[in-house]
Amino acid sequence: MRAATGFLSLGLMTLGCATEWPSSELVEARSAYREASVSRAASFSAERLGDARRALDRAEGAYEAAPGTPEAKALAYVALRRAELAKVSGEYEFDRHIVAELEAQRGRSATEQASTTNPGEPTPTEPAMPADDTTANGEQSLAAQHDSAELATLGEALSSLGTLVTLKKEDGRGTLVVLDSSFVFVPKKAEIADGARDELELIARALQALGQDESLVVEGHTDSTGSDAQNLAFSKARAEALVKFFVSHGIAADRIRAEGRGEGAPIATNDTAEGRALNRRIEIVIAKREGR
Amino acid sequence: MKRVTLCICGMALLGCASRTLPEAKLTKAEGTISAAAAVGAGRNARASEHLELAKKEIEEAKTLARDGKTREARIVLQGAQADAELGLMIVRAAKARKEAKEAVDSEGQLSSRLP
Repeated sequence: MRAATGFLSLGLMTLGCATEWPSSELVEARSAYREASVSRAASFSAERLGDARRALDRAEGAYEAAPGTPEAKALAYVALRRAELAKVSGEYEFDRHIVAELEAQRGRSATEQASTTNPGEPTPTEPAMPADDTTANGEQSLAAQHDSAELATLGEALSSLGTLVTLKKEDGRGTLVVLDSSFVFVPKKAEIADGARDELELIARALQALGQDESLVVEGHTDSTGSDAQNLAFSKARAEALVKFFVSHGIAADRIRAEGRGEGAPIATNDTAEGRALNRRIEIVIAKREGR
Repeated sequence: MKRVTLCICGMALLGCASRTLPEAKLTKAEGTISAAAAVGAGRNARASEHLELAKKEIEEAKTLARDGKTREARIVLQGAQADAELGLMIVRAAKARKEAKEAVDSEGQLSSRLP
């Protein structure tokens, strides 16, 4: 009897050692992943759902290898957040899809309507020019009106980006869209950051909406860390990466070009970390195309 | 002389410990927090909560790295990145939802497709 009890106790102890209950983080992560996998993420955000799956697999692996350790708990926490992110991302992509679908539908309706109207008549989007407004003063006034209207249109289109984007008008250059490089690029690389793609797509759409009369110069700027030559090459490489992105998102290649300015045109001091961060930037210069 | 040597060794060790967190990943997490704040995460309670968590996790990761717990520090930093991205995505999703509702309302159709 005593021997049987002893065996039972030993067995229970062994079982106790081998079986560690999953942490609350892992339980939540599993549940969040299950939820995400049957949400819109499955159809609209497969990539993020894949990230969540991989994060959960890592967490499960850590739980099997060393349950209850801080590392296993931390990995489960990452998996939980990745699953939540996939779910929210699915909802976001779905809503964007709805908006894009409606816009396309509206575009098709407008085309159909235009094809049924008299081609001789000016369309509402082509305002008639005043016949007598041909003086130099008149032209300047129209240009000024055009610039402020352009700034207002861009401001409205980019308003959801908050302080990620600064708009300004500079004499002799045109309208400037200023972007913080730390948001746009992977740190220390001339590569667009994944987290910035959605906002950059929005900027691409806003720039496209300006029409074909505007030329776009994407200028890369750096702080003064490193040599002049390095900074010039790096700023050019970053500007080129952004131009490539914009062209792949519908901006005509003959309308846009990249320039590297290196550290040559700072807007703040390079003596402080804050100033250097402000100097690491992209400026998109929008100007009227010559001969248009 | 011994004291100076010890001091130099201590400083060198401290330097090594603070470098154990991958700088690029730290910058990326901090950049994502800034981006989320810039697009208005402060006006969204749920997004704000995740950004606060991300900031705390970054500090925790730095402390762990200083204590020599490099592996754990890196995982905590991954958590910070995930929280920061989630905060940013929550703001984006709220805006996209608003735009979609407006578009559907103005179109007066497809409304059954939105919950």
